[in-house]
Amino acid sequence: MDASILSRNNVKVSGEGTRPIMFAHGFGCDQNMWRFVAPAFEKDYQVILFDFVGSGKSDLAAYDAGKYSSLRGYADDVLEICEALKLKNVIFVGHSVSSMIGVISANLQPQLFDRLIFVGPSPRYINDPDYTGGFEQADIEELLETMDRNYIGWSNFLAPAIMSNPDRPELAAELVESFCSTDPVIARKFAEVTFLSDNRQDIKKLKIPSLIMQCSEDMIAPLVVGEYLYKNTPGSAMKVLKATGHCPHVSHPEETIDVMKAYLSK
Amino acid sequence: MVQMSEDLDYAPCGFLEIDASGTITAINATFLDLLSYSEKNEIIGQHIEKLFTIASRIFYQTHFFPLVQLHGNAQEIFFTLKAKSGERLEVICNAVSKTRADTKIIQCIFIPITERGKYERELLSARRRAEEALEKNIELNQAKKELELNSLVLDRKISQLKQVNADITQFSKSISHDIQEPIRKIAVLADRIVVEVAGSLPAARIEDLEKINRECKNLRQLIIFLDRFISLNNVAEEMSLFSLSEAILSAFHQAAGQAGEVHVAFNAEELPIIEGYKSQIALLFMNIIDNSIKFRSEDRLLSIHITGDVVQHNTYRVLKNKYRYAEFLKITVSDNGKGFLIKNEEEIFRLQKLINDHGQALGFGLALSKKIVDNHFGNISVASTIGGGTIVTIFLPLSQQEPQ
Repeated sequence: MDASILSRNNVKVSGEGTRPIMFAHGFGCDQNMWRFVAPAFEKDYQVILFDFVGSGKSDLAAYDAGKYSSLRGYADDVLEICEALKLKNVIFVGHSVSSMIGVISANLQPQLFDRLIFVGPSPRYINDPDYTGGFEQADIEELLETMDRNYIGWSNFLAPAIMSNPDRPELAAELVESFCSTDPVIARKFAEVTFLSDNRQDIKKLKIPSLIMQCSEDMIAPLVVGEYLYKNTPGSAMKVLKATGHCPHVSHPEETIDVMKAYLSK
Repeated sequence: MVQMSEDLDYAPCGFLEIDASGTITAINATFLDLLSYSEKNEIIGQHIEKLFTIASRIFYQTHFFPLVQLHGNAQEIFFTLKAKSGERLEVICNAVSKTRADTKIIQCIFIPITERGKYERELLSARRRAEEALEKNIELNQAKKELELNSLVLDRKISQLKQVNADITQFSKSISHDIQEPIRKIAVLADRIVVEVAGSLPAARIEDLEKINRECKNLRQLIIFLDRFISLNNVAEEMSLFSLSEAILSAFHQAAGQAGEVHVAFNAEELPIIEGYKSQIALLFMNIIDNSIKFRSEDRLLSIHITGDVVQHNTYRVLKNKYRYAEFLKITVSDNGKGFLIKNEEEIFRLQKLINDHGQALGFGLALSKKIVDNHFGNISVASTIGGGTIVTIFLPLSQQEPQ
């Protein structure tokens, strides 16, 4: 087992079952996002939680701007975690952008995966003349500005200095607790990679059965996007949830668990 | 529903309450006014997202909502609101998650930061500039490192070259002084034998002695030439500006004078002033013209034609993929002589005697020419066809100054 990969991605394994279910968080948070949902699977499954590099308690030093300038870099990490844990027949649950990271991973090594579950997925956020993603380029640019304004206290120069100041551990602790402990520089890059990526070709090549969990009134992944995915992803099923917003696993955990379990029992 | 006291309704900040799904359940009058709405009913029952710009909606969904749900509160979150009038309003929001009568609610306060916002934007753009400057500095340092590395390599090469040059000078001195003398002695001895015992030797032996004499003469000529060739390495002359037309004309007269009774139709275009070693350039053209005269065709009047064009030419001669264009003079010297066969373009510039098809030696002229052109950081090439004449093409930089 490659311990460096498990610490790099802060991998947590729990559960009494043998069938692996892997939960991947989306942009803006870390594995804590799954705290209301993951325990419901511990009895029957081997539950794998992790943080993407740059999020949560991952190893920030492992961040490589080149590698993570594409979702491919994140997918490679998913595959490395599977390999390090020797996982087979993985059920991959991805929230938001992680759905597409799951698609890329499954296209690279389909033999590792059994099912994919997408929570609030979108293959492309920005509108095209013949595609509705829900956003214009200008919206994404304003989002990046909004992120800058929210991380204004985190000077790019200051943060690493504080983080590496062993005499004042409380500073690091305080910073780590804010914003699901996401590094602002990396978070900004993650936002760019997420919202500027285009995975419409990738979904067409998917060979693993998948479930699209579509929320009602999700402005980030609207119904029209879910329908596009359903139409263009071979072997996909779609379930529209009563839950509103973009984070049903946080706002409506019971419904989320029920839908997932119903799909997996088929 | 929250009990909205008059104090809260008109508090000096906006107040909003939403349920777990984000639907607005209460708003105070201050916030209503900030958003330029007139009735609370316009807001209550709407989703909180409706108050945000699209970018702030994404931030709400991906950051704010999970944060409040998982941590129970959020502080100093920056949002941009959209007022009823369409006006944008920058605010800071604090929020807390509570349970009231078994129902989860989130209470938020909003403070406009219009003035502070301008300052923050300035801070951000200053930080971006600082980051860019830092990045540039890193690039510069990288370039500096490479330069230092290259300088080191260059320094070693120069030191090697100096050593080689010193060796060659030593070698050439040794040849001209230490070998000349024995050759001279051999020639003198051979002469003495011819003079003193000529009568008692068979004719064939006399011929041998004469051969020895001829070879000695050739050897001494070769040594003189080698000496001159090597001495071109150690240039004593200063570079100067001079008229190339004049230099070529005097070279022609000198070459024609040496040849004696030869008729030549010589014409040269007006050529510009160039910078270089004047005596070397004169020698260069003397050599070339001398070759034209030596290898003229017997059945026609020799004509030598010289042209010159200023062209852009790459200054880099050795390094690949490096370009710096400068003004060069492209000179062609063409004649209608016998011509010769060029088997290997590089070979003809080597230090060796080339014999043409008519048994005549081309001499060392071309090797010397190349040396002189190299001394001026130029190029020389020769094209020739048997019976069709020869064209020598030379590129010389107009200026020998280091580019700034």
